[in-house]
Amino acid sequence: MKTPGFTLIAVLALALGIGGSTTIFSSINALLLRPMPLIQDQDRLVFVSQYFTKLPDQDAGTAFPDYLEFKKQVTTLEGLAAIQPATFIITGGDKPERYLGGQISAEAFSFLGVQPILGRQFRPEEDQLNAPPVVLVGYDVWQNHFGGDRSVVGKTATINGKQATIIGVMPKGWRFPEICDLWMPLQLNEKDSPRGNFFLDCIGKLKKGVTITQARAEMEAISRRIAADHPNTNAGSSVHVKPFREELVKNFRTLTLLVMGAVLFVHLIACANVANLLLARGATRAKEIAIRLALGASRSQIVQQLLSESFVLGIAGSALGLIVAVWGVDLMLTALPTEIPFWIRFDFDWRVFFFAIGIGALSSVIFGLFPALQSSRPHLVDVLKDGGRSGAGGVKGQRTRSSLVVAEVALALILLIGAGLMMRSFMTLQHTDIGADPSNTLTFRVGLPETQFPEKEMPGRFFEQLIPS
Amino acid sequence: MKNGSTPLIQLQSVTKVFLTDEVETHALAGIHLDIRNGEYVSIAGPSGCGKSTLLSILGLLDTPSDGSYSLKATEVANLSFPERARIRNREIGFIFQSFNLIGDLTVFENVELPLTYRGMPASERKSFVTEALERVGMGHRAKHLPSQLSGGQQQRVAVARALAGKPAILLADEPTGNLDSRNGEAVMDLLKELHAGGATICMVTHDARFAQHADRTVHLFDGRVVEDRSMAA
Repeated sequence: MKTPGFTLIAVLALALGIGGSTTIFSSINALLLRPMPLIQDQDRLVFVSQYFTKLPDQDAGTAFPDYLEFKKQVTTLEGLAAIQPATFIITGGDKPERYLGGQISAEAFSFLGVQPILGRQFRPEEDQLNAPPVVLVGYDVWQNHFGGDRSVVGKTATINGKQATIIGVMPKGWRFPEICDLWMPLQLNEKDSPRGNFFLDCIGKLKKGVTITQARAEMEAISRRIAADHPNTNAGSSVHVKPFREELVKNFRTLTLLVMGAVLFVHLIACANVANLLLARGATRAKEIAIRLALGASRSQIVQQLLSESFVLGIAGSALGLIVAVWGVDLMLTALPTEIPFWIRFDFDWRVFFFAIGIGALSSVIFGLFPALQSSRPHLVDVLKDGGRSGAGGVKGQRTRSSLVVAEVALALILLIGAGLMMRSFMTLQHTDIGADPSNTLTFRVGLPETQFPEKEMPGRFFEQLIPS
Repeated sequence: MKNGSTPLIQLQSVTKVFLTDEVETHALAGIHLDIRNGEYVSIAGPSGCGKSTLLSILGLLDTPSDGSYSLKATEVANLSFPERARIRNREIGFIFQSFNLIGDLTVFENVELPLTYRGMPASERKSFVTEALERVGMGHRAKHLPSQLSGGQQQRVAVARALAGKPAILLADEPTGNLDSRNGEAVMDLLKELHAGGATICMVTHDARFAQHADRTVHLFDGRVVEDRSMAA
């Protein structure tokens, strides 16, 4: 408060660095740390997918008959569910409404531990191919399309041209596995989804006390038996069993951690800046510090005093940084081109809060310790005399400040080079020849209800008419 | 009260050499000096003779290049910085030419500062500070900032700060250097009063008028003691 200008600049510099770091940490928190909402026993969930040993890094999906075999033979999993994405068009209102959804095996939501807020889960018999169509409705669809009608359970809706009975409404925020709003039973058969057609996503739950290694070993043995029994379709295939969360974040983890590293570099630059400001300020306070030392203060007492002042700056920077982070997260969400999966939530929880405070406290040590140590070593005799040299403003102090500037420039240069390389990669991608001219091109999806296009050739004829030659 | 036994301060063959850009400056050359309890000693000499260097060594702000320095029969010449700081806090009270009060602290807080570094409890500090401020006649300005005081008043506060911890010796470096003659006289009268009350004082001054206030004057020239004269003689 005695030097408001200095305090304002220092706190602003820190707030920008802490705000940026906290914004990215909130992404890391959402992706990697924060428990997924509503799902029970998340650490026991596994992602299961078949793959071919010639392409070990590519998950092929799971064939329906193989899924049934796994489910029948596995003993290390409490349950194994299958899901395939689907598009649902609800008609019968003012206009058709299109939703993303999933066809999911009956027991899936049960072993995920999620119960509808109205109605019931799917029953096993509803998974059978010719069972009457039923649908679980998402909370937002219930509110927006059905007006939040509490008597919606038991009513029917026209979905993809068929009448389906609404059996339940899922809790608010539930859009498993990512952005689904409606769920219907899997209702597959081996005839229409034969072996060799790998398309299902499978999720399993380890039994209590069973490790993922044990489950993986068992599933691989089952896969080998299936391959031996059906070499035409399954020769060379095996199965991946991976932690569910790890699978969900695999495309984001590296990039997020890289960005976190870059943002921390920016924050280090801010810290170096503030350290330089403190060093310069130390020069103006050299006399005060010399007086305190002359009166019997130990160096550790002086360092402690100066670090306390730095700590206050750090905490103030954290507080303002949290506000910057709130804006930063809003900006980030606005800039995202697609809807984010339901389980990614950027709400500020205790982890984000403690990260901001922690990085503020750590920063205060980073930017405060060196200036404090430097300032606590003035040339006492010179400084106490009128017109004497100030300790931190002498040649050594100048050298230190110059070193900090060099460090800042070096860090900034590293960031600049990294950013330049990323931009170059992006530009290269933009100009990659894809064999066609994408300018003035629009993409869209058209869903054709099976009830209106039951024959195989009918969709083709429709699109021939839709798109003039 | 003068103590005829071991001197409070004993300097033997104290030398101080400054090395700047490979040039040696001999600020002090073989100084012998004893100061007894209750003495009032002034150190006089022309500019650059080594007075302030001597006072810095006496005050443990600096260390001699050679020689020995005993304070209360303890060798202190080559102690570490923390040890010197501790002794400085407890045994030595400093009065500077430029007052050297901390502008952001009140008069009370300035006087209290050395006691804080000593780890004294707050209630005890309050008692010591009040006593010191009353002794110099500044008790009524305890809550003021140094910028609200005149030069003479600031120096009085500096004296109170030096006194508060009941040190073995008061060291004053040109205490009237930044004061007009009236205020300078007032401060010198205060020091005289303190000496009459039993304080041991060592004062650096270039002003012969004020040097006469002391019991004994040590004249320095070119870093050596050229005269050590008792004023009673």
